Amino acid sequence: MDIALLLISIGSLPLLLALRIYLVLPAHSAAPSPRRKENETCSLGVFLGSGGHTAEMIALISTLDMTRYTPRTYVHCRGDDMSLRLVSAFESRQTGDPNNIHHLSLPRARKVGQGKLSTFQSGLKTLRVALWYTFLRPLLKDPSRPWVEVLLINGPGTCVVLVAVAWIRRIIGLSYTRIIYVESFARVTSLSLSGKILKPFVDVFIVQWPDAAGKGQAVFKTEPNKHESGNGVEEDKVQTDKTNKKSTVAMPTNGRVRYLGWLI
Amino acid sequence: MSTKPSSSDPTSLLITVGSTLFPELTSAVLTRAFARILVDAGIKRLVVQYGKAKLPWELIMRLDLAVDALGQAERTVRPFDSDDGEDEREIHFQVKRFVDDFDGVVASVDAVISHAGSGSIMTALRNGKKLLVVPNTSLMDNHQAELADVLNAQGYLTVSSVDELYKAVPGWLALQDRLREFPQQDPTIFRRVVDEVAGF
Repeated sequence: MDIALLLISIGSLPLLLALRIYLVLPAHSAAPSPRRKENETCSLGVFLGSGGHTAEMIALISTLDMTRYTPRTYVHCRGDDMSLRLVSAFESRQTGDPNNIHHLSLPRARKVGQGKLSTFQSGLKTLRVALWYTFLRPLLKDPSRPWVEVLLINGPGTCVVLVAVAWIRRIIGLSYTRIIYVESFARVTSLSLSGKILKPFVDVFIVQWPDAAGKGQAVFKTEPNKHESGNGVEEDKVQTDKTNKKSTVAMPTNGRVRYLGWLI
Repeated sequence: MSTKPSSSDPTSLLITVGSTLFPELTSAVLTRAFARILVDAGIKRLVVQYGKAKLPWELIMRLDLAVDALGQAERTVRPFDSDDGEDEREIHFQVKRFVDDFDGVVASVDAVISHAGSGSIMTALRNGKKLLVVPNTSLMDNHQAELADVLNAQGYLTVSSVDELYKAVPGWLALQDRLREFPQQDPTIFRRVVDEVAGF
């Protein structure tokens, strides 16, 4: 009967979605980044997770050439005035048009120690706000461009929502936000909860201690780079071409955890 | 910014718990007994940044601290002073709930006792300060203690506990330049990663 056919079709939608997500995981689809000219710019999103997360994030972005990364959007959690103060102090040291600096305030998705049900409810609220500001509104303005081209995150919880929303464009095949996750310097032998959740879904996942993602999980900058291929695992050396300055960080490592030393 | 641990004997000390609640530490150090230990060790100025903790009542009463609306107070006290005693050695107490210019406060002291937060640890070490870390063992997911332990094993800092603090502090303050110099940030690593991802 037609109803049965309909039910089967509807029932298969989640499967198809799961397949699509699986196929576009950074581990499987390593679309190279678009090449940019020296004088081009790149829009940047920076998540400020409060407290130590924000302090580490500002230490990280202070190493960037901010004339390249503009406009910039800082995402903080509602009520986190400390992060706003720190980032304002940071931005006051930058040159460039202040109109290119944006702030987005998100309701907090999860407070430390919050239960599962209430995390789910507050997460939905965060999701609504994030959907509008980081997906729908940018889509209505200019469907060809994602909200930001590169997003930097380092936890905690609320940034999971940002990644989930950023994935919509990836799933439907539009140009998408590339995401870099930097695990905290404080994580020596285990990942944070948001790190564990997000590891397969970000383009670059960096730890600052070699065993933070578990023993033997991280790809070292100076060691052979294990690369999964269709027929199994093959080893290929990280390029050491002296003429190419960028070769020490072999890109991309396709969903693998990277350890590059201390970044902050 | 100095990168070497100070070679002379420390005379000023910062105790910091960042934005956390760590009453076991803040209560242990805001006492007359601890002030005596510090005075004996040559400390003349103490700054305590106590975060979300309540100031111990004993301190407010015995030291007669007047705490303002921002949770700040300062006073010079003679911790050995008693009815029959003649010991007039002093220590200047400054308590603050939070500090805006943390880097500046760290730079202004000779030594730091800190909770195990990575931010506080980095700031103290990058400023070349002698550092004693007291991890908060009441935290559920105590990954912070791991950071303190690994940096201790690598020779950058000393680790103690609230229970051992009174015993550990004089020896730690007397340590001479045995700690390893902490590396400054390498600004090229993260920049290269982001530039690569962005396509520069």
